[in-house]
Amino acid sequence: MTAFTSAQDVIQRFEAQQYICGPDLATPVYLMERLEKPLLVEGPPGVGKTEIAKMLAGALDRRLIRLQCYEGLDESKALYEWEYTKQLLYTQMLKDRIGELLNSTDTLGNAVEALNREDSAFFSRNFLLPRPLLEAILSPEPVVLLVDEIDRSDDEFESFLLEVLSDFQVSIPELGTLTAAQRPLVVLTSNANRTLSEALRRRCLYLYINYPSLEQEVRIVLRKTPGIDEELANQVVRFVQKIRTLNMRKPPSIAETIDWALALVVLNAQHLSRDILSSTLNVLMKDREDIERIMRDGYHDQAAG
Amino acid sequence: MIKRLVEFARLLRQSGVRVSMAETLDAAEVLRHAQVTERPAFKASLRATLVKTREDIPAFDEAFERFFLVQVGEDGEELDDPCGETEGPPDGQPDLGDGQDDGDQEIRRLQDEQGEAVAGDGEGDPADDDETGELEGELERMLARVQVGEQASDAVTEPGTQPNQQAEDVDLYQELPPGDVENLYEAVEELARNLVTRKSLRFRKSRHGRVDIKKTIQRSFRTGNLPFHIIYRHRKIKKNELVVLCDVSGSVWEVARFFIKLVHEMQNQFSRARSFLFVDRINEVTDEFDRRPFEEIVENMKDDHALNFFGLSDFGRAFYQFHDEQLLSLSRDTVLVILGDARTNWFDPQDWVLGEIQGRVHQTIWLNPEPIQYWDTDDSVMSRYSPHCDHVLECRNLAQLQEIGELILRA
Repeated sequence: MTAFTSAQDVIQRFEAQQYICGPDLATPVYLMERLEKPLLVEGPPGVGKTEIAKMLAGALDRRLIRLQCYEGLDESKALYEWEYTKQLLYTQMLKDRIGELLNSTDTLGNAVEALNREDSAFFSRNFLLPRPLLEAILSPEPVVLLVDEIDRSDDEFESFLLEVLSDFQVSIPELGTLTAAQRPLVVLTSNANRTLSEALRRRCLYLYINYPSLEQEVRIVLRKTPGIDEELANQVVRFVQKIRTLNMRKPPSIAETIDWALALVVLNAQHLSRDILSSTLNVLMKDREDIERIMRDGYHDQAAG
Repeated sequence: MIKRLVEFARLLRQSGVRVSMAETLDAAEVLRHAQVTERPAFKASLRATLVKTREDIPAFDEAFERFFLVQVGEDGEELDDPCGETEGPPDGQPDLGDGQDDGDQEIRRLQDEQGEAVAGDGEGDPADDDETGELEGELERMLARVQVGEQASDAVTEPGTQPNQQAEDVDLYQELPPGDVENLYEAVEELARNLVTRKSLRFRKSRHGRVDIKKTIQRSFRTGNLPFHIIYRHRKIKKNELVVLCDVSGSVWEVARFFIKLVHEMQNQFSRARSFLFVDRINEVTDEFDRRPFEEIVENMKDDHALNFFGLSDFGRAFYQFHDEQLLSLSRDTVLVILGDARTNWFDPQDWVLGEIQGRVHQTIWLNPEPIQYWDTDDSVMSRYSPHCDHVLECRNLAQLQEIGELILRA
């Protein structure tokens, strides 16, 4: 599909995929595509950071390549690895052929030379195991690269990533430098568990997503929950937004709001009552103490009112 | 236009947002490419390029409002409101006062340099068929309103909007107004995040083990003596257990809450983090800290008879009880941190108990929130305890807190 024509276009194409957003979100997305710059997305868990990359891939009809970061992620897991076992296996199977090859040589020096000529056979693309980053670089058609939860990786990896992102080329000692045929669109997400380096931030466009506003979340719920009554959707969202202000151990995400709304629809609930709440709250809240606290204080009255 | 942008970037820097030259250029690039015809989009574009941390967003919003949305008022009067905190309207900024003209010239110069079509004659007269021209015209109109705003911008040079730098020197050992406490909590959070970043380096190094030749060869017997599986030696770094023992009498807890906040933010760097509070008896509050803010806990403790909050601190007795009840739960991986002023109210310090505890744990660190010159005056017995501690440190500002954080993570 073609590139975005405006931020409004982003909003429409995202909405076609059931993702509702405003210009605050759409503008940086539009700009990143236009300027071919990486986009760094921060925000609390469950506000749809990762979704942006998926929507982007969907809207532009590109393949999504995902690199999930974790503590201890290193180049061999992110970029490429030599398939050592396969190399060894091939050496074994080709033993006789190698023998033949070397039979015709008379001196040791010649043998080494003959072998040297074939050397590249064993360090070729055949034995290269591309990991997400290399995959994104080597892909003939443009892709969307999602680097998820970059704050979980070590900062050494971060600087390595910076290098890759700046010119989209990788040098592999045995093969030389591989350059991206098409610049991938890169989306990085972070939960702000640690401070990302200034350098990385400078390279990226930045987007902070917070929980959506009341109206927006109601729209999301209405869109994602077929058959929900508008009044109930309003109550649900008001309740959820109230809870988010209460300093819970695990505040409810948008996905959980939708799950909960779905549950209420399935149970044919007309409005939030204490009974309904106590039987469905575990869909929304995933921490026992939070649930107890909500039941004890009975916030649902305020939401209903 | 570029000039305006540079000035806006300067205003941002003055309000404590770090904006680099490269980012300013990005913003210029963005405005050139993007169709920025509406204010929200204009703002979002600038925000995406100039602001790179969540903490800076409020400062950006404020600066944006001030810089771009100031009405072309009669004179400074309307402006006093948006910048109420400043020292009044600045006078004598003649070079900025007629900045509009400068800006136009600047634009023409820049455009000439870049060999682009010059967009019309000036503001409000966009080139007809050229998209960029139209855009710049729109921007011009937007920026035209800035003229007065700029004067205001200079007035904000001085407000204390660089909390992090100032926070370092704030003396924590005193009663702080609630607003400051909030700011400091945020500073502590950031401190913790930075510390954790550095810490992860160490884990990383340990993970890259060398090839374990012996095991690799053993394993190769299965595959006809061909080493198909290479086995690496894993040098494991064990996470330490952290035990915090905190005196909550007097004003020690003014500091203690920040320290405990720090510990809390870093807690997944330890296998376990336990906290005890004491006055003359100890009380474990590990689970409490997961749930409630420190203030609330302290407030609750006042009603807790077991703790005897209004009693006199008795370090000796508290240590003895700790020794009695918890000694067996301590191990070689435990880092024990004691926070207190070592003022025993002339009770027996029982320092030998601390000696025995030290013998069991990996490290003992004593943090004293009192200025170092007051140690060992009156009933302070710091020097009785210090031989039994691996480190004794003063702990009264964020810079020291950072050092302490590093020390604990390295321990």
